[in-house]
Parts: sequence; C-alpha cells; structure tokens
Amino acid sequence: MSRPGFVLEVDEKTPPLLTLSGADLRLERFGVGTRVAYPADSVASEDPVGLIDAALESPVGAEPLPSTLDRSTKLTIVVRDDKQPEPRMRFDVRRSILERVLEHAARAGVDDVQIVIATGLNRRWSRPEISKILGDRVATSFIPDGLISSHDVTAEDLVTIGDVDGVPVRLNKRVAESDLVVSIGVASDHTSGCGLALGLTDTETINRLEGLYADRATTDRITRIVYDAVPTFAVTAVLGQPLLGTSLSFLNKREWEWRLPDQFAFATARQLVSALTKRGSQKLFGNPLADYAISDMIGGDAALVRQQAREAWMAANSVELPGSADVLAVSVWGSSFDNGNPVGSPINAAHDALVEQAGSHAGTPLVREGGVLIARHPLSRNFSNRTQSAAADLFAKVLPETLDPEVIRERFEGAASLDPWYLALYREHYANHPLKVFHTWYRIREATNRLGDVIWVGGDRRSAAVLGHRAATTFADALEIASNTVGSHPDITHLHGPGQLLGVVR
Amino acid sequence: MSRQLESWAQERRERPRVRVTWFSDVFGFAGSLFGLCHRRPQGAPPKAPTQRLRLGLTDLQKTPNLLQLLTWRLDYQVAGLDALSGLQPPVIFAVNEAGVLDWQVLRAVLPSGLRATIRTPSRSLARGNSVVLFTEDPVVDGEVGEFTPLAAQLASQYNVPIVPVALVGTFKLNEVLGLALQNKPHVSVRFGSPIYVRGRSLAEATGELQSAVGQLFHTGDLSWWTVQHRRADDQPAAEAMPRWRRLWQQTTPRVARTRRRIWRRPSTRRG
Repeated sequence: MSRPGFVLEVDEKTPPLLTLSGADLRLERFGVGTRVAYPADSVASEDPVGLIDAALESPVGAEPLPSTLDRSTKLTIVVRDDKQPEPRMRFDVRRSILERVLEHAARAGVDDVQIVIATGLNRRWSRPEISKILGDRVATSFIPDGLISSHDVTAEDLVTIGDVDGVPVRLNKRVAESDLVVSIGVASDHTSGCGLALGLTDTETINRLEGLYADRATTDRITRIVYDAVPTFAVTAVLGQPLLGTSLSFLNKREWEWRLPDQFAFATARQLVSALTKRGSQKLFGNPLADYAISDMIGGDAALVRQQAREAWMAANSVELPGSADVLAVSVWGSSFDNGNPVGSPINAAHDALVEQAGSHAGTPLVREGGVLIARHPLSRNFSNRTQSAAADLFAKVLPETLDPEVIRERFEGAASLDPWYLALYREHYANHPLKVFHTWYRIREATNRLGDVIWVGGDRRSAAVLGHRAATTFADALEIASNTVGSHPDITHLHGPGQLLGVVR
Repeated sequence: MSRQLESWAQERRERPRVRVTWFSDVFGFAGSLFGLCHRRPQGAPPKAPTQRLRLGLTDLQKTPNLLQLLTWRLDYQVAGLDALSGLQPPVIFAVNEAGVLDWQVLRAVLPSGLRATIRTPSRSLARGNSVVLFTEDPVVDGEVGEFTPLAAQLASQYNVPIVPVALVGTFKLNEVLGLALQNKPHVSVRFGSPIYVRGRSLAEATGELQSAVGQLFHTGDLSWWTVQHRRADDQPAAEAMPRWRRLWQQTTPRVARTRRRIWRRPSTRRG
C-alpha cells in the first residue's frame, strides 16, 4: 500500500530538498512558507496476472473476452503507444496483458491474429524495440511472419471509415477489417485522449483531434466513428508512481528518509554529472527504467474503460492544495519526458513544465491567472538529429520568425507535414512525425498565454528568448524578476519531482 | 529573423567546469548522522514498510553458478529465461526427473533471489521461498515422468504460479561423468511460460503442466505461439527404446556456430 501524496509547509527546521534541473541534482533550502507538493509514494509492482484475468473475465459494459473468441474470429490486438510513461516501464504491463490475451486466443483456437502498435505521430517501433518491450515469446512468434506492425500515419492503404463535416476519417487497414479488436494500454496521467483515434488514424484526423483548431464536439464525433467502425475490447492498466533502480534510489524516497546508501547514491550521481557532464549524465540517466505499481486494471467497452481508468488514476494520485498559487515552481528532469536524452530538448522541457506539470489539475489551475511559473532547466539546444529533426528546425528557423500559432500553422505546418526528408525519417528511421512538434508548440503557447511570466532558472538566455520566456541564474533572482508581476511576498507552491501528481485545489 | 530578440539574450558560451562535489555532499549529510537520525518535518507522514520485488532482467543470469563444481564439467544450454522476468517470488518449478543429478544441474541456473528448495514444499512456500517439484520415475526410461497433483494443489493453496521446466541430457548423467570423454556432456534447461492455477480443477492443471513439460522436452525450439496452439493436438508419443539409443539420441552434437574467420582457409578442391 503506498502512502498518498501530501503538501509540506516549509519552516526553519525543514532540511534542504531535492531539485532537478535537466540532468543536474541539487539539495536546496526553500523559503519559509513555501508549499512543497509531494506525489504518492512509489512502490514495487507485483505480478499482474490476477488483475489481468479479473479484467478479462469481469469487464465493464461488455461480454467476458474468452467467450467472444472462436476459431473464425479475425483478431487484431492493438498496443496503444500514444502516451508512454517516462521513465520507461521496467516490467511493461502491456506485455503481460498481451501474453494473457494470446493465451486465451490460443485456447479458443483463433488462427488469424495480428498485432498493431498504435503509435500515431510518435516514433514507430523498430524490431529490437518490439522484442524488448513485448518480450521474446511474442517477438519470435509474430515477427518472422510479419504479423506485428507499427502504424504508419502516412500509409496509402488506410481505409475510410466515415467522415466528419465532409472530411474523411481513415483508419489502419488491418484494424478496420478485423472482427474483434483488443486494445491494450496504460493510464499514467489525467488526460483523456482516445488512444485508438490518436494512434491508428491518418494525419488530417489527428490534426483535427489535437491541432490548433481542435474542439470538443469534433473530437467526440471522430471518436464515436472510430469506436463504431470495429467492435473493441479495451484493457487499460492504471499505473502508480515510478520506482527507480539502485543508482537513483534516492529519487524514490523523501529527503528525511534517505539512509546511507541513498545519500551515497545522491553524492555519486551529483559528482558524475558535474565531473563528466555529458557522458556522466548519459550513463546515469540515459535510459532509466522504473517499476510502476498497478493500482487498477479495467477491461471492457472502450469508452467506459477510458473514463474509468482516468478517474482511477486521478483518485490514486491526487494531492490536495490549499489554493491557487501566485508562483508555481517546477523541477524539469530530462528523463521524465525525453527518452534517451538525459537533459531534454528545450521544446519538450517547456511542454513538460507548462503543460504536463502545471496542467495536471482537476479543473482549478495550480497557478492563478496572470501568475508566474518558475522552471529549472538548462535549456541547452540538444535535439536528436534522427528523431527530433523537425523540432530542431522549428526551434532554429520558425520560432525566431514568429511565436504566433496561427501564423505558424498557416505558413509552416503544411510544408513540414509534406517535407520528404521528415517523412523519410518518420517512415524508415523511426523518428517522430513532423506534425508532433507543431502540436507541442500550440499547447505551450496556450499555457503561456494564461500566465504573467515564465522564468527559467539556469536556462540559456537565448533559448529562453526564442521561446518567448525569460531566464534567471538563481531561484532568488527569478523571484525578484517575478516580484514585478506577483509582488514581493507571493504564495509559492513547488512541485517535487520526479513523478506526476494531480493537484486538486480546494 | 522578423522577431527582435533582446540584446542580452546571448547563447551560453562558457564550457561547463569540472567540479568536485562528492566530499562536500557527503559531509553535508553528517548533520543527520548519515541517515541514522533524521528529523521528520512537521506535516510529513511516517515511513511505510518495504516490500518484496519482482525478478528483473539483471537477476536472470544465463551463465550458471560457477561456484558449483558440477558446472565446470557440463556444457549448459539455457532457454526461455525470459519467461521468469516479472515473476514475483515465491514460485513453484515443476521439473522432469531423469537422474540423481537433476537438482544440482537445476540449482546452478536458477536465480539466487528465488531461494529455491526441494525440502518441505508447503513450509517453504509459507515462508516465501520457491519450491522445486520433480516427476515420479518415468515409465519409459529417459522420457518425461508423470506429475502428481501436488504441484497444482500447492499452487492453488498458496496462489503461486507453476513454471514448467524441462531438463534434457541428464539421463544417467552420473555414469556418463564417470567416463573419460573428449567433450563435456550437453545439458539443456528449458523454462516454459508460467501456469496460473486459478479456479481450475487440479486434474486439468496437472494435465496442462504435463503437456507443457512434455512439449519443452521434445520440441524445445518451436515458437511459443505454435506450442500454445498445438498443445491439445499432437503430443509426441514416448517410445520405448534400449538404453544405448536413448544416450545416443541425448548426445547428438549441437549445431555449433561457426567461428567467423576473416581470412578464409583456401579450399583444397580449388586450383
């Protein structure tokens, strides 16, 4: 049983608390009166087979899965990958669910089975990645015959399943032609995007779901079309907080519970990052794997499962805050949003701070309208050449021209979506689709417009200026800059990372 | 550039300096006596007890335990260890018995975190230690023997999975080791996917276990999906054969991976 999150009010006796900035670690003293919100405790996961069986045999709003399978069923198993929790899962629960579903299918004698990975605009999966995530058994059984595929949003053979306002909605061919679709995914945050619609459709549809002019009514209609196209049985695992390995064990515990091994691990980690800079941080944080406990597993009708999984995650990870703050301070840790990059690229860092952390609330925002967000990140310009080529070009060429989302959409988005180099990288070299960074930027801009100021502590000044934000050297300097907007005695709330919490403002 | 960036918005040009922070950090922890006495801040909840962890990829070592002497005398081949990743101890291993050295052979390959024993299965499971159960003596020498319902019964009583394991190459191993041979005897340890006995009858579970071990023993290199699919259909029959033929079959040479040579030896047929 994990302890729930809580809010610590800093006084004179509080020890220095951990802050993360890119790959840097620091123990800092906070001012008296600062409220520090801690997420729920991370605990180790247990074998989920019991939960999976219960979800498959007692689903919500649907018949038990074993009874719907028979020899002639054309079965497609969709592994949803539109939002994977970072750091990556050590024991990927989707693998366990997939193996269980395949065992049921084998027992029923189903012959025609294929697996489709619904990546959407994210990176498609390569073969080694499929083996690593889905396991040796699934890989050796399905890869040689070409029965596992990663969805390609630019494929020509997508099937039209309906239209909304005259614009067609196109779906993955194999999924559209199946008798039954079993959709496997995880819920690790409060967003409620439909994994199937975001992961298996074409570029225009995803643009209408998540682009600049996305509205609720159109989203609901597209989602309804996707669900009505093929009978779907969804299984979603609700995850807890990440539990990291021994070299980063101090990140799992609260500072006053650190024992000697944790203190040594912290000192060693800090020394490696300071002494070896890039290589050290790559060694430590390059690809951390975290163990996520499963708080719930829900199976059944896709729409109901999505809603219940979201509610279950919110209930398990919510922390009550006394009120909206004037200043919200966040630690931006590279490994919690950029896989393989320990520091994180500037655009993704801004998205993590403004949209994922500051936006993780249940209705009432964590920082008041016109308040200030202070984020800790170096904002160094490192983009992966292969996977984030479009993001690098956006940062270098588009943002210095204009920050306005409407102008960017009009002038640059169309050309980037059709650029042959970006599309070649997406199709053959497992890169993100170019449209993804545009959607990221629109969300960043929406969040920035609500706030009075966004200040980056320790951030590169030019990068911060390109993003339209400000930079400060220390936290105290940032508060001094912020005092123009919020006064000299603001209410400060600090979100303690890593781990995602849902702030519920009373 | 149509936007005018501020004049002071310059890129950070100085190279990050190498700093030694380890000593100051460690001495900084002396205030709390290096973790022995911390002052819990007001409003923070007390500590919760720690839990048992699942088996990860780093706990599964394909190399057998070199501290055991028997390991040095055998040529091990381990397959299917991936099936154990993510399992939570305790676990029941159901193995076919072919000779007296089976337990020693298996012990070298099992992860030490499982604390597997063959004595007092019920008491060990109650304490959280894994258990290894063997078949009865096989009717046909060198084939797979019958499992008693004990494995299924313990699994349903303690709610633990059963991992089927097949040991190939241990038939009369103690006698084979007494001979002076050129090469080490081949031993293959094959792990199958765990079986969960939940809400199923003991006879059904034992039958599934029996067929799983039989499949692993006979056809260890089919893919898992094919094995699952074919499970009910064809079960290769155990044929009685004289002892020398059994050992002959057991010692079939493995297809060795040819060592890649940069300079190819000139073939005698050419030129």
